[in-house]
Amino acid sequence: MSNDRLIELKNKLASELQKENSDNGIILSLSNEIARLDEKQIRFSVDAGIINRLGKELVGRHETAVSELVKNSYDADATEVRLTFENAWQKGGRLIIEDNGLGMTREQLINGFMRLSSSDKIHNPISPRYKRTRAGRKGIGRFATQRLGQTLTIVTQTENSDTAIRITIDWNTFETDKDLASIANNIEIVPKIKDEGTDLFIDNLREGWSDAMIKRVYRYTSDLLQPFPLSKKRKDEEKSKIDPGFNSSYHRKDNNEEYKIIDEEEAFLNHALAEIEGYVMEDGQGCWALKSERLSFPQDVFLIGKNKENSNSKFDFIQGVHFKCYYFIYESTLLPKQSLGLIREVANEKGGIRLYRNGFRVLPYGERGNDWIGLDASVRKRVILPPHGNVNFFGFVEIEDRDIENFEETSSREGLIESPAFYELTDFIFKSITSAVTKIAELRNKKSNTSTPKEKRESPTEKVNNAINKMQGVFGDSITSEAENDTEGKSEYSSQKEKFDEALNDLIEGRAEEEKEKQELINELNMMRILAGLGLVIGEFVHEIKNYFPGIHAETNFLRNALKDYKEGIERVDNLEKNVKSLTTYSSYFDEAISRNVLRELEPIELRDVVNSFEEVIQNNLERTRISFEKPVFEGFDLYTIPMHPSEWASILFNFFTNSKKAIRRAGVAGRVFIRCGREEGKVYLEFSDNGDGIPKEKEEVIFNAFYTTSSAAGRSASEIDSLTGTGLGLKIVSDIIESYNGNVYVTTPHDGYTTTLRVEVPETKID
Amino acid sequence: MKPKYLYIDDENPDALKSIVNGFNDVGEIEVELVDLSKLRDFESLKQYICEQNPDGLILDLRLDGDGQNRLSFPATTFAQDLRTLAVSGDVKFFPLILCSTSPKMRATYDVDKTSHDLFDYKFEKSDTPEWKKFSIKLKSIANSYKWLNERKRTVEEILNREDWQQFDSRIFEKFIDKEQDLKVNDIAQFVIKELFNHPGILIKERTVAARLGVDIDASGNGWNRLKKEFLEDCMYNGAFGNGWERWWFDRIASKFQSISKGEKLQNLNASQRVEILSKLGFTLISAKPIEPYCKSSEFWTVCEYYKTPLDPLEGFKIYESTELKPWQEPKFLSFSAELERKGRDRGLRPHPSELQNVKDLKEMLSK
Repeated sequence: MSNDRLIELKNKLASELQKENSDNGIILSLSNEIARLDEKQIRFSVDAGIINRLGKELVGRHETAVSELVKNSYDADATEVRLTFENAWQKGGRLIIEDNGLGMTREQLINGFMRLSSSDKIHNPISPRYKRTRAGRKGIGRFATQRLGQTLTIVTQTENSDTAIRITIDWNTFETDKDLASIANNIEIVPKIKDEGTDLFIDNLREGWSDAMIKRVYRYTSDLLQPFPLSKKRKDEEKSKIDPGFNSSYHRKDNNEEYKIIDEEEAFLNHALAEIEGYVMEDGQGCWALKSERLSFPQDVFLIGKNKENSNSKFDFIQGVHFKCYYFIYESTLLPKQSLGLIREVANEKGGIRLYRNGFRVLPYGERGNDWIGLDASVRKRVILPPHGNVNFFGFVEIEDRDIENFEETSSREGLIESPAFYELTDFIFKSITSAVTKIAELRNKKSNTSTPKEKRESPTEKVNNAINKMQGVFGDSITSEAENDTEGKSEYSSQKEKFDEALNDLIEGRAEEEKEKQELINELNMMRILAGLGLVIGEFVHEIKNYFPGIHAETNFLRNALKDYKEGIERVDNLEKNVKSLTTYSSYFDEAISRNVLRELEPIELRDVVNSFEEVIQNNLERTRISFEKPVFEGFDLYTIPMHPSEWASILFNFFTNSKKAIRRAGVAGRVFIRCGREEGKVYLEFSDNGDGIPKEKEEVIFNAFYTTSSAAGRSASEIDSLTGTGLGLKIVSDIIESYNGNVYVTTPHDGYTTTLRVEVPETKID
Repeated sequence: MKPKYLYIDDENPDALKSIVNGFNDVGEIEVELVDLSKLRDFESLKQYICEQNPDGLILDLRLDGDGQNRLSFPATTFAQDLRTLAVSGDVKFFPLILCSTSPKMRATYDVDKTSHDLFDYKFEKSDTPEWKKFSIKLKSIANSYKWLNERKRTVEEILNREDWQQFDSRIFEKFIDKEQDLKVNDIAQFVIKELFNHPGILIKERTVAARLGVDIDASGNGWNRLKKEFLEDCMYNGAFGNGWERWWFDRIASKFQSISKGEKLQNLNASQRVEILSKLGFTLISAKPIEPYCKSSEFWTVCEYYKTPLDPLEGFKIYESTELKPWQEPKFLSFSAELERKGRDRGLRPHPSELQNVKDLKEMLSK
């Protein structure tokens, strides 16, 4: 019986195969039936109902289903994916997912998408083009589409194909009791609709979609999101291997009306506290710009120079560089609650400033853990207080083709050579960003002080600038034409205009100079504020530290006793004691200079007093540096200065001493310092001499300028103290103090046996 | 048995533990830190102290500072209350010791004189506290308090000297006046602050050396021998004497006279005094005047800055927070120290009555 049946089936199959247009469905089902009659071997078959069952079991919720499809786009190296929910409020709508990924060839479709439990993602956990770690769960995509809607249409094309492939799957045909293999789906070759990529059309959605659901999908894909704004994109360049990032946008289309639900801009960038941009112009002038709607600050541009003290100083290597970043402060008052978590989470992974060369990403800049601008390091130093770590930014820097000679890649292609240009670049960005965040902190402060945001008032600067603008329009066309008709009037007019123009030019010039000066003052003031703040902090610390010294002394005493029969032990205790003594001396230095004097009032100060306490405090330092402090000479008694702050003298003398130590070290001599004080013509003076390497004649005046320093500039890796002591503010502070009391400080002829003598003169107070 | 002190301080207990160790390692007294985390308010702290019944109490001045166990009241307030309790007989008298860092001491304590007689002793929590010195003093104070608490003591017993009536009668008038019911702490105040802390009938070692014309630092062992062999029986050994080395000057003077053939100390210069002492077999170096402005070696006192011998004619009386009693001698700052303005940072300055003298001297030297 079975034999007859077998023969019949084989004949049917043979005749079907003979047909010119044989039906693969019939061939498949005949072969299956033949195979089932095999007496020696049996095989599994699959019921079509499995699709439905797997879909339900593998894909829990509709939102995860969509997020899986977005992840598939990411895995296909798409840089953009666009989701459109058409008339999807109620079930029966349509979802379109369009990406610009690699697309699929016919083979990939058949062996991949159409083959259940295919192993592509297991075999290839890394995506081919951008080497992404694949995010999608294995083999879930097709079930996701089944879960979402009744029919699926896929249109896919690869870069190298001339045509696209379209397949349509009607999930309703996958009924129980049918053999899975027997269900045929239509495949067509259609014209390409884009270079590459895959579009999914899911029709007859099984459920309605609210905006909240769509936003949830977005959040589920947060680990893929890279909210980096790129100013422009280029297609013509050779395809880079470096991942340019992945953007997704979610839209809704209701009866031909289309609008956006969410995308990177909506979810991230629109929540930024501020946008900070910077560029370096052709002449090397750097600028940075700040814009913040949240702080009602319309865009404003500020100059920034290569040199700290001169905002007009030009950059040498980085003309044309441009950067932009979005600034976030993670405080609940500044970000909507539901966004705060998402943004911070993404920022933790992806925050920072990325570097693009000719539109292509350069690694590892801006990767997690890469702090190429030095932002995280700066946060740790706490010189600038507002938050400005990598996690606070999403941003990018662009450098252009012609900068290639300035920016060479390392031979291992892992980043750029740290050339002067590269240093200048990081410096420019660092300075711009820190200036901007400081400005933002200022704006925030202003705002937080008043309950309602104040209307931005015209600043005096703006007033003057506006006035200049208006003045430039005074001699407009109308006057000119009237005047031209009358020769007499004309000459009068032109002489008036000449005078006016001259005055106006002076005004504009003066204005520019004033601006420059103002900026310098601001820079200086900022530094002073930092120093003042530090002073207070140090005062606190000293107070804290001092509490521990008696105890340390007690414990070393104990050790000394306990170890008295152990020679090496005693030596160690000696060392320990010596070190602790240095520590106590330095803390008393701070105590002397800062904490004790913080609240004192101005008073006439006898120069002996400042010299005596100075000598006491530096005693240890002198021993350590082997510098001898010669017995000071005082000519005359009651050498009282005009009322001053005692700590100011501490600053003056320590500054002199610090410089002397450096000079002595450079000279490599047995150091000596010497103080002589006296009075002369209504002033008291103090002369501070050392036998260091001296000050060249031509430098005698500049040493008192702000930011003049003999030490090289502190690098970004320098410690806080380094970066403050190296600022070259020391003698500037001294001269500011002295000048504020109507005194003088200058380099004078050195005393016999010394190479440098600085002389301070201040008005005397006569005490009766 | 070692006297036991309780120690109250609001600072970080880790740092305080080491201070307690500093005392306990010396072994003269036992110090126990009071755990303030459970005794936050005035009453419960007071009750705890009374229950513990210590031999003494060490109080940090600024209990209301910014330490981690900050209390709401300063040590002076607390001490005042304990004293009142003792006077009314509710608790026995025990020593109250004050400690603090020096800037705080100056800023708060030194300016408020009303609280000065509350404390028997104060020490500074400096960078390197003198644990041994403090311990000996604290032990002596506690033991003397105990001894004074036992029963009423006579002047003779307190000074351990029978012939006390030969001294200026004003010194001991409050002991003689029966209306004045002297308490234990009054006696402590009197002995420590009036007798010990000011030159008078008792003087301290550096003043002894000055009057004998000796340079202590240069003489080294010679001085130690002199102290032991010649001055031993001139030492004060009354109440609180174990904590402070003091000498009866009247005894030193008459002893000197007995070997100088009647020459009085004040009529000799340093080298003459030393010469006489040397005849007894002591190797001593005579002291020199303080450079550059002092010339005389007829020493009688010490310069409070340099702590070396000084002829009072070449020094200025210093300003002190309490007025001198008629039988107390002033302390001095040498010309050299004053003209070079040494000791200003320790609060040493000439008494206002000396200012004209200072001015005159400067004018003279400027010519």
